[in-house]
Amino acid sequence: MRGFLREEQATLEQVSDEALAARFAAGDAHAFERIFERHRPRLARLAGRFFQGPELVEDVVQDIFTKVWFSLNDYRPLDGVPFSAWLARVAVNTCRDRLRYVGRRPETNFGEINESEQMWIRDGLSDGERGSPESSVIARDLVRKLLDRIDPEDRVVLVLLDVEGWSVAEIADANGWSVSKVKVRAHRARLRLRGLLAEWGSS
Amino acid sequence: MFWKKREKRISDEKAERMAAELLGALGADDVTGALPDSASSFAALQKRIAAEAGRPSAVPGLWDTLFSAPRLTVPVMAALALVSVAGFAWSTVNRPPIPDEAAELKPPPILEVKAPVSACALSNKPECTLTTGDVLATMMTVAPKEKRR
Repeated sequence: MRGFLREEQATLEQVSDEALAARFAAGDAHAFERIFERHRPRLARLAGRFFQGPELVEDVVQDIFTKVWFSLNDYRPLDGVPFSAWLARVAVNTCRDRLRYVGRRPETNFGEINESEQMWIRDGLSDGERGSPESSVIARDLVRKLLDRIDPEDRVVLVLLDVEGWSVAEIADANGWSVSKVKVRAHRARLRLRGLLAEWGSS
Repeated sequence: MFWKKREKRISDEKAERMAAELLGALGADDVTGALPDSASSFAALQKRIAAEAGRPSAVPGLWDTLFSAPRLTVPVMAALALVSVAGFAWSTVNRPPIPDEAAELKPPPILEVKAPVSACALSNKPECTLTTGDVLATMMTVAPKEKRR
C-alpha cells in the first residue's frame, strides 16, 4: 500500500501543472495538494515583495490558493494559457486587491520615515559611501515605506518589472492590461519614487 | 517658489542608482524562510477552503438579485392577476339591469351666442357702460331646443 502511495506520489511529481489541473477538475484532491506544494514558495516570494511579515505573507498566499481552489475548474489548458501564467494572474490580482484594500482603510498608517532613513537618502543624494550591513537593513525597511506611498497598481508594475524581472508583456497579461498601460504605470511609479526620494532627501 | 522646486530635483543618474539600490534591497528580503512548513500551511488552507465553501455569500451578487427578485415577485403578481380576473368576471355576471331612460344619452346643453357685443360696449361713455351681468345675459342663453324640453 505504502509502495503504491509512494509510486503515485512519484507519478504526481512528474506530472505537468496542466495535467494536475485536469486531474483536479476530475475530482482528484491530491492534485491540488501537489500544485500547492509546487507553487507555494514562488507565490510566497511574490507576496513577500508587497507585504511585510510572515503572518501577512502566509495569509495572502492562503488567499491566493483559496481562489485557485474555487476557480481551478475554469482553467482551460486548451486555451493556450500555461498554468503558471494563469496562476500568476490569480496571484497578482490577489496582491493588487489586497494592496488596494489596505490603502483604502482609514486606519492604515504608512510607516513614518525616521531620521536614519532620511540620512540614508541624503547620503545617497550626496554620493556618500555605503555598503555596511546596517545600510542594507535601513534600505529594506525604507523601500517598503516608500512603496506604500505609491499607487497600488503602479507599485505592482514597478515591483514586477524591477524586482521580479518580469517582462512588460508578462505584466500586461497578468493584470489584463495593455502593454502601453504597463509602460505608463512603470514610468509613473518611477517618477513617484524619485519624487519621494527628493522630498525626503531635502527635508 | 521656483527655486525651491529646482532644489528638490535630483539627477536622473542619482535617482536611477538609488531606486536600483532600494529595489535591490527589496529583492534580497526573502520571507519564505520564516513561513510555516508546507504541511501545516496546507492543513490551514483546507480549513479555510471548507469555511469559505460553507459560508453563504454576505453580499448577494448581481445575478443572485436578478434571479431572487422574480422568484418572489412572480407568485405575488400571479395572485394579483387572478384576483383581478375573478373580480371582473363576477362584476360582469352580477351587473344590475340598465333602465331604458338611463340608456339614452342626454345631449349636453347647447350654448349659443344670441347677439354680438355692440361697438358701444367698447366705448368709455357712461351710457355705454355695461356690467358683467349685462354682457353674460346678452351673450349666452339656453338654446330654444332645450327650452322646449
